[in-house]
Amino acid sequence: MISKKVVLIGKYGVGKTSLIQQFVHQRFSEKYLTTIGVKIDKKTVNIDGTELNMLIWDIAGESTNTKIPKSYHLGAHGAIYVFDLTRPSTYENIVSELNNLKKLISNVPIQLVGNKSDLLDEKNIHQIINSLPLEISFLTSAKTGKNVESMFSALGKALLK
Amino acid sequence: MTLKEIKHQYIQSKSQFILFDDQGKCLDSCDTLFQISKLEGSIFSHIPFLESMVEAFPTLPLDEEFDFPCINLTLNGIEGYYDIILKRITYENDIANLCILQDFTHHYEHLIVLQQERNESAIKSEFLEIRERVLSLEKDLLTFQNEELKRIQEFKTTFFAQISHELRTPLNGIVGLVHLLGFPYNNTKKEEYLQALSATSQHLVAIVNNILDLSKIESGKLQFEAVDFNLPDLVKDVCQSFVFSAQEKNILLGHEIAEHIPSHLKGDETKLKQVLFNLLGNALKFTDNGTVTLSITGQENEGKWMLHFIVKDSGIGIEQDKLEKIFQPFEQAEKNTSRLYGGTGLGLSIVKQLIELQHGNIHINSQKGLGTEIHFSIPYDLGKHEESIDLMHEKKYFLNHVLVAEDDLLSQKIVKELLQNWGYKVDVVADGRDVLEKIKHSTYDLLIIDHQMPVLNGMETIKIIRESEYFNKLPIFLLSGQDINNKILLTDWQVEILRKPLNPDDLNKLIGKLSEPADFEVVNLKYLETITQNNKIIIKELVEIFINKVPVELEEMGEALKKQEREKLRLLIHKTKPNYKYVGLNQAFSALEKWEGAIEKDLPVNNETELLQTITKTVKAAIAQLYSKNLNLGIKELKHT
Ligand SMILES: Nc1nc2c(ncn2[C@@H]2O[C@H](COP(=O)(O)OP(=O)(O)OP(=O)(O)O)[C@@H](O)[C@H]2O)c(=O)[nH]1
Ligand SMILES: [Mg+2]
Repeated sequence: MISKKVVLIGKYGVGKTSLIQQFVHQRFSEKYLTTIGVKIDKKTVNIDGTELNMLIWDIAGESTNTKIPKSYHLGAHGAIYVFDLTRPSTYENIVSELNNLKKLISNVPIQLVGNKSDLLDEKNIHQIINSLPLEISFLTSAKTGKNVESMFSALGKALLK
Repeated sequence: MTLKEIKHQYIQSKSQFILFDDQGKCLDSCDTLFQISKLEGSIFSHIPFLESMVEAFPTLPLDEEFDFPCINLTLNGIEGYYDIILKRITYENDIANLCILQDFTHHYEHLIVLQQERNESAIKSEFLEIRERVLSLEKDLLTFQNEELKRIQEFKTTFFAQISHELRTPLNGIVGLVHLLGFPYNNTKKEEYLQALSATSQHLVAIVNNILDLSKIESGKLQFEAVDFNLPDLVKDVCQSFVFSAQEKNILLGHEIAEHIPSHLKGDETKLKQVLFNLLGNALKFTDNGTVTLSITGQENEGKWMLHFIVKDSGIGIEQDKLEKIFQPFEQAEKNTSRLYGGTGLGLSIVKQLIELQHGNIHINSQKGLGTEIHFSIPYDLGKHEESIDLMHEKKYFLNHVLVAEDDLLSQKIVKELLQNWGYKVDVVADGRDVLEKIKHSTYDLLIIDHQMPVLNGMETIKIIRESEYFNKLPIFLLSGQDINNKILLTDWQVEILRKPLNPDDLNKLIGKLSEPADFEVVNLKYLETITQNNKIIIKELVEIFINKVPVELEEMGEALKKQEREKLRLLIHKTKPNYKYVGLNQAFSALEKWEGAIEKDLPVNNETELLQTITKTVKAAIAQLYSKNLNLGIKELKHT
């Protein structure tokens, strides 16, 4: 079976742990329990008939990902950069954050994910998306589960290419 | 135990060293923390951290340490935090992977609390900041809205205060004058009051028009006409209306038009009048015992005439600092200087906009105490010399001379002016007896008579007229303020009733009825009989052509008129017109002839649609007559009758 290392990056509280909890265990908790260091979870997914073992690194969010130990990125096959749609500080420097990330893990697929879509209405979300200089891959809600599965599957597909 | 031993034991108890190959086979393990060596299969399946690095191991440079602080692992069912070191080393002549686990659970569990607090408070303060920003934006918006509202409100208040003040002045005047006119002993002064009443109501109309104009200009809805007009006539008209007030204020009012300026121009005559009225009105208002002149010069440029107008007065003048503001709307209203600089405070701003919208310009020179000069220029096209042809009102020839009998001066004046404006000749008398005198000595086409008159009243006069041999055909309209009891008698006498106060439309309609062609246009085959030497077959053919073709051609004319296909219309008229002559519709024939001529010369014709309608009516009546007369011609019954 193919195993791939996926890292979840993004500032604290954006919902990285919640997205993984939703994806792996279909659970969600309103209570915020911050992650320290790294916690690794795994889930086997079937992508068009291929079994893929996703080893998901839930990395504690910092105020900027330059504070994350570089070694965490070692051997990563893919990354998910998560931001919180309700907190501008989590997407204000999105371009430089992503550029930083790409320097550490070059040539791997990265998903740019706006999370907590359940908290905003469509109009607000559109405003935010339009104000961003980058294309967003998915708008997710770890709470309702919206787009969580599809987001991970899309990354899985990209990992197999 | 030595210190060294104690230290060794301490560190040893918190760390584990594992050696494994790239396939995950455990080569050696101290098993201090976990029983790894006894586990079945690949160690990767037990430690996802290592599993995720499978592909990375072969790529690691030899003997280099890779630190992974704070990795959360659950091993043997126990969760903890470990700092992990990975190192690729040489082991028993082969290459192996070394993993050093150091248990820092205690340390990190302490740290997690701090980090939780740090993150939570950071998030909280961020939300607070956002809330504050939103609140302050909302506050700004509210302040802005309030200020805007206040501004609009203030503007409205000043504007309406000013407007209503301006409206009230002439309205009070009108009410007062009407009141004065009501006193019976004031008869001698009535003419004067009427004059004043007329002037005041015109002023009121002007103010209302100003307000409407301004709103039109503001909303961009004002349209400009291009009509032929006579400049000297226009100037004379405008100046004429100021003669009285100029005399009153002992002002010499003069106008001159440079000789080379053509008298016939094309443009918006009404708007020019409006501008001149405004400027001359102002000039007179601020001048006492002096002069006000209007001079017009100009030059031609590529077929257009740029006219320069100068309105000059020797009045009080305007202070320099107020000059710039004088054309700004409401500026005056706000500063309450409108009393000084004219009208609603809108007049000059309207003037400026009217001029500029016609691609002209205006500026003002003034010196306090010496007078004011306003210069403005507007471009005009050259106009046509011919007067516009009014075929409809050719009627005037049938109804020309009107006698009005009315003892009330106000109504007298109204009726007289109305009729004169429509181009009729009017005589006025104040008594029934004078009516009888007048009609004996001149011919009248119409008598308009008031019911209540001294000496001989309306009804009595009409009775005498109808019973006389000579005048029993004279059309009569009876003016009456009350309901008339003797309606049957009036019908008998063929007298039309006009209600007082007189509505011009009613009068116009009644006059129209008098001159309706159907009333006098009767088919007459004399001409046909002459030219065909009474050949019944040809006559029949020509009459059939009239019945069949003329209505169709009228429809085609209507089409052409609607589409403004002038040449086609002219051809149609040309083709159809002899038919009218054949059946003796001579008036219609000559109207058509003139119409054709006018189109040929590209002259404007008034009320073409109405004219066509009148002719159509005439034709319908004529066809009916041709049938009903049963002309013994054996005319085929046609579908469309
Ligand atoms: N309404 C809503 N709340 C969410 C969603 N995702 C996460 N949360 C909440 O956001 C808070 C933070 O979620 P986590 O998943 O712990 O965030 P994280 O990115 O792992 O944060 P760190 O571990 O500190 O980096 C928790 O209170 C979650 O319940 C979401 O999609 N919708
Ligand atoms: Mg987390």
